[in-house]
Amino acid sequence: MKNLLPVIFFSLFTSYSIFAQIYTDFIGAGHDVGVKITTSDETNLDLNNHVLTGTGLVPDLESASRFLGQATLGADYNDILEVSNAGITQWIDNQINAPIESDFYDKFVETYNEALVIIDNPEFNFPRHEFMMYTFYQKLMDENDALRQKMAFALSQIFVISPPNSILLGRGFGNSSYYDILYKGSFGNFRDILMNVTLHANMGVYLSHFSNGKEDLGLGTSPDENYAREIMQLFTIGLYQLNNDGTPKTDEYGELIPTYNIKDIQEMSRVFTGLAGDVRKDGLTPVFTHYFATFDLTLPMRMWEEYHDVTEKTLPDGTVLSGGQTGMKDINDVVDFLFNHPNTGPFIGKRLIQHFVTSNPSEDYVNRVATAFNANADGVRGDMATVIKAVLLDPEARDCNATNEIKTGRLKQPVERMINLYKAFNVQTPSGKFWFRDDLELLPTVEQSFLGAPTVFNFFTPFYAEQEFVAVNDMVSPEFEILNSTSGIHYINVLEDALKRRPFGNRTKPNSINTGLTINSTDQPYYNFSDELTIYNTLGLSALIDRIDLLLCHGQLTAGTKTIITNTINQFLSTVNNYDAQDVINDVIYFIMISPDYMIIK
Amino acid sequence: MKHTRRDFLHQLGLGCSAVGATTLLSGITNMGLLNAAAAANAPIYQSNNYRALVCVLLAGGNDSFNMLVPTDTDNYNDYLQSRGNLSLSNLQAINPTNINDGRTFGLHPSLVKVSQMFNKEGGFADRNLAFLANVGSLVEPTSLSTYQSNINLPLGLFSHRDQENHWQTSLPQDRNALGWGGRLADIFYTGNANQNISMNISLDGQNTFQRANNLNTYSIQTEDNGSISINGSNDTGFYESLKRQTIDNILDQGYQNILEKAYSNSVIGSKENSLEFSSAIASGTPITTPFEDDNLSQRLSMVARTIAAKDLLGVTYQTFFVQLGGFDTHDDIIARHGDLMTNLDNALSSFYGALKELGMENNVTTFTISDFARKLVSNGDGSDHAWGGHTLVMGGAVNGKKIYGDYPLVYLGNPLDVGDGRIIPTTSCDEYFAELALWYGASPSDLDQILPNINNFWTPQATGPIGFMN
Repeated sequence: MKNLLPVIFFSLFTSYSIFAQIYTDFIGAGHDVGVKITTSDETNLDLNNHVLTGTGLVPDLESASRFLGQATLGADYNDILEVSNAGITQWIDNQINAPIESDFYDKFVETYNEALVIIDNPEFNFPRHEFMMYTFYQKLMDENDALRQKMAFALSQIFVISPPNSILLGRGFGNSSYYDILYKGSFGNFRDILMNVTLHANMGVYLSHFSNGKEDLGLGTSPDENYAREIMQLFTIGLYQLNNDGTPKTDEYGELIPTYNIKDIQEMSRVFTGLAGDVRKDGLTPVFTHYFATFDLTLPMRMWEEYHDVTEKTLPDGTVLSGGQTGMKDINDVVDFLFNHPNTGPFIGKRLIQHFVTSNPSEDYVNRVATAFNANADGVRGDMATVIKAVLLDPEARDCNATNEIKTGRLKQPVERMINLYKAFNVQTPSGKFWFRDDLELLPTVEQSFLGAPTVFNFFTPFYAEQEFVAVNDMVSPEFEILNSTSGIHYINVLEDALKRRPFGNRTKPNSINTGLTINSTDQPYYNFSDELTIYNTLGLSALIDRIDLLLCHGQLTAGTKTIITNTINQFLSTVNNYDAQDVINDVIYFIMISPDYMIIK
Repeated sequence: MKHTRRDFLHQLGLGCSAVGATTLLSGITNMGLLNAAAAANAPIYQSNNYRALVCVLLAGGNDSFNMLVPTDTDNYNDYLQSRGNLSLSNLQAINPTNINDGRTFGLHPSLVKVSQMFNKEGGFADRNLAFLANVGSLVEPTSLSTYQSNINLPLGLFSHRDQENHWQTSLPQDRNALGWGGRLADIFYTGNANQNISMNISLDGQNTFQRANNLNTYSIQTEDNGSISINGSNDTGFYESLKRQTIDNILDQGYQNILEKAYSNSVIGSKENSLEFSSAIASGTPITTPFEDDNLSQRLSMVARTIAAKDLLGVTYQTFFVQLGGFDTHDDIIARHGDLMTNLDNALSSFYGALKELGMENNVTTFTISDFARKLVSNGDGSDHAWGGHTLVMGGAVNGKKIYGDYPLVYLGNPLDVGDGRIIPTTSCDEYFAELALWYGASPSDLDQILPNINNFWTPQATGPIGFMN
C-alpha cells in the first residue's frame, strides 16, 4: 500500500511542488495574495490587471476556494486548482462562454423517462415534482457549469414558483421549462428573463394571471391583481424609490417615496389580462377558460385579445398606454417600463450580491453593480453576464480585508451546505444517478429544498434581520429567517447522518406497488475520501484539518477552532475503541461544518 | 439583555446586581398583580395565575367576508351583488346576543363546530367564542376622505408582507418594529420562575409577533416531544459527551463577526433548552382529546401539551404563535377557503376540548389574525388583497356569543369602501390587542409600551376598549 502514495500525491498536486508551504498562512483566511484579478473595461471597476502582492501557493488556493464558495454551490479540490490556474476572471469567462451541456427541460424529460422504465407501470405517467429534484442534483453533480447553476438557483429565489406548495406540483414539464428561463437565461439579458417569466404558463398559474380576464360587469369581476403587484414588489422595483446605491430616496419631509400605489396596481392588473394557454396537449381547440393543465405548459401563454382590457392605462410614472393597443403591446410596454426603471438595477443587483457574497454590501458596492446593470461596455442595459462579473469581481467581494469586517458575510443556505459537502468529497453512486428528494430529507428539517419555498416571498426575505445582534446593528440577515431552535439543531443531525449513515437516500428503485420510487439501499451514494485519507495517514491530523478547511471553509477556520477540534480528535483517538482514520475525517468535517467559521462565508 | 440560563442564575445568585435589579424592577413595576419578592426569588406554580395568548395567523389573507356573513335580507342581497360568483349559501346560522336591530349573521358552511361553540349548543354550552368585525391595521382612525388624502396610512397597504407584519407589530407606520407579543413579553418574562426556555414559543419558526428585546423566540415542532436534540444527547458515554462539549466550545469562542455571533447564539440557546423542554413535555399531563392530522390541529395539539407541562417548565406566562397558510386565494377560492375553514373548525374545537380537559380554558385565550380580508369583488374565481376583516376570539375568559365591533355595509361604493370592496377598518388592531393585553395582566400604563399607537384610538384604562374579555 505504501508504495502507492507518491503516485497519488503526484496526481493530486501536479502543478505544485508539495506541502511544505501549506500551513504557513492559514489564520485569518481569505488571503488574496498571488491571485490575478483582471477585469475588462466594461465593468467600470478600478481593478484592471490588478495583481495583489504576495507569493505562495496556499493563499492562492484559499482565495480560489473562497471565490468558489461565493460563485458556486460547491467545489472540490480540482475546481480550486482550476480557478487558481486560470485566474478568477478567466474562470468566470470560461463559465459564461461554455456551451450548456443539457437544457434543464431535456434533462428532466430524460430523467422522467428513465424513472418510468424503473417504475415499470403503464398506469403511471405523471411528471411529478420529485423528478425536478433528481434533475437538479444530477446536473449539479455531472455538469461543469457551476456558476450558471448557482445563478439559476439564486434567480429561482427571486422569480419564485413553488410546485410543492401549489397546483404546479405535478406539472414537471412546465416547471422544468420555467427553470430553463433562469438557467439558460442566467447570462443573457434581464429583460428576456422578465418577459419569459411573465409569459410562462406556470408563473401564470402560480401568480394567477393565467386565464385572467378583463373586468366583467355582468359577473361583477375585476382583473386579478396578484401578478401586477408581485412583478413590481418582488421581481423588479420593490416598494420604494431607490438611489443607484440601493438606499431609499426620501422626499422633502424625509419620508420614503413609494414606487406605486393601489391605483397603480389596479391599472397594472388590467395590463395582465387576456393571457392563457396556447395549445392544448390533446389537440382540441383551446378556450380561454380551459383548465391550465389541459395546455402544453412548455409554451408561452397566448394573448387572447378578446379577454384583454383595451382601455387606456396609466403606469406609475404617468406614462399612458393608449387605449386600443394590442395586449402584447401593453405587456411589452410594462416590461420595458419595469426593465428601464432606475430601481431595477440596484434592486436586482443587491439581491444577487446577497445570494453570492454578503448580506450587507456597502452602498458603493451596490452602486457599482447597479451601474454594471445599467450599461455594459456596449451600453446595453440588463446584461446579466456583466452584472455577475461586477458582483464577483468587486473589491468588496475579492479583497481579503473584507473577511475581517465584523458586518461582512452571509449565512450559507441549508441546501447549499449539503451541496458543499457532496461536491467537496465527490459523492458518487453505483448507478451514477443522484435521485435525491430534498423535499423529504431537507425541507421538513432545515426548511429549504429545491423550488420548495412556502410562498412567492421565498424561504426568507432579503429584509429579515435577526433581532439580538443583527437588527440592533442596522444590518439584515436574510437566511436567518429559517434558522431557529428546531432547524438549527436539525441541521447538525442531518449533517451527522449525511456523514455517518449516507449522504442522501438515492431513490432509484420502484416502491412496492410500482407507483413511484423509493430509496435503493444497493445504490447508496458514497464519498471519495481517498485524498483525505492519504493526507491524514501520511501528514497527520493538522494537515487533514487544513485540507478540509481549504475545501469547505476556504481557509477561514480560526486558530481557536482548529485547536478545539485537534484536542477533541486526539482524545477520541486515545480513548475511543476502534476510532479509525475514517472516523477522524467524519468528525473533522462535522465540527467544521457546524462552526460559525464555516456557516458564515465571509 | 437576553435571558439565558446563566443570566438567570446570575440574577438569582447576586440578587441586586445592577443589570438584574434594573430588569426585575422594571418588570415588577409593570406587573400589577405580581408580588415583587415572588417574581425575584420564588417559583410561581399556581395555575390560576397562568396566562397564555395563542396567536393563530391565517396567513395569506383570510377571505373573512365569507367567514362571517350578513344574512338578513337587505345585507345578504348586498352581499350577493358584491361577491357575485364568490357568494356562499347554506351558512351556519348563529345567534349573537348583542345584535337586536334585525341584522342576522351566518358562518361559513364548514364552520360547524365553531358555530356550535359560538351558539353554546351541541354539547358546547360552556364554551366561549366571539367575533370581532372589521378590524385591521390603522395608524389612527381613518375615513374615506383621509384615505384618499393619504393621511397617516399604514405602510404598504394591501401587500402581504407589510400587512401581515402590521398585525403582528401593531405599528403599521414602522417596518422595523418589534412584535406586540414581544413587547408584552419584554414586560412579563421576569414573572416566570424558570428562565431557561423563552416564554415566547413558536410552532412556525421565526415570526414578527414574538420579536422582543429581552428574549428570543423558542421554536418547537409537532413531532416527538416538541423540541429537537442533537443526536445522542441522552448518551453519557465518552464519545457523545465530548462531541457535545466540542460543539459548545466551538460556538462559545466569543465571535466578533456579527453574523457569526448571531448564529452561535441561536444554536447555543437551542441546544441548552431542547432536552429540558422535551422531557417536560413527555412528563406533562396526558391529553386524551383527539386532534385531527392537519397541520393546524397538530400545532395546537402541541400547544396544549406545552400548557399541560407548564408546572414542569416552571412558567406563569407564555405566548404561542401558530400559523395556518394557504389563505392567499387569488384563484379557486371557494374550494380552497372551504378546506381551510374545515381545518380551522376542527383544530379550534379540539384545542378548546383539550384546554377544558386540563382545566385551563380560562387561562388561555386564542385569537386569529390575518394579513387582510379579501376584496368583495371577485377576480373570476378568486379575490385579491383588501384591508379590514373579521377575527375570532376563543377561550373561557371571552364574553362569547357576541359579534363585537361594527360589521360594515357590504354594498360596493359604501362609505368605507376604498374600491372593489376593500373596507376601511373601523376597529384598530390596537384596540383588539389592548383588550387581550389587559386580560393577560398588563396594567393600563403598560399599554403605551405594548401598543404605542393605542392613544390614537382609546385612552388606556382598566376596562378594555371593546368588552370581549371578561
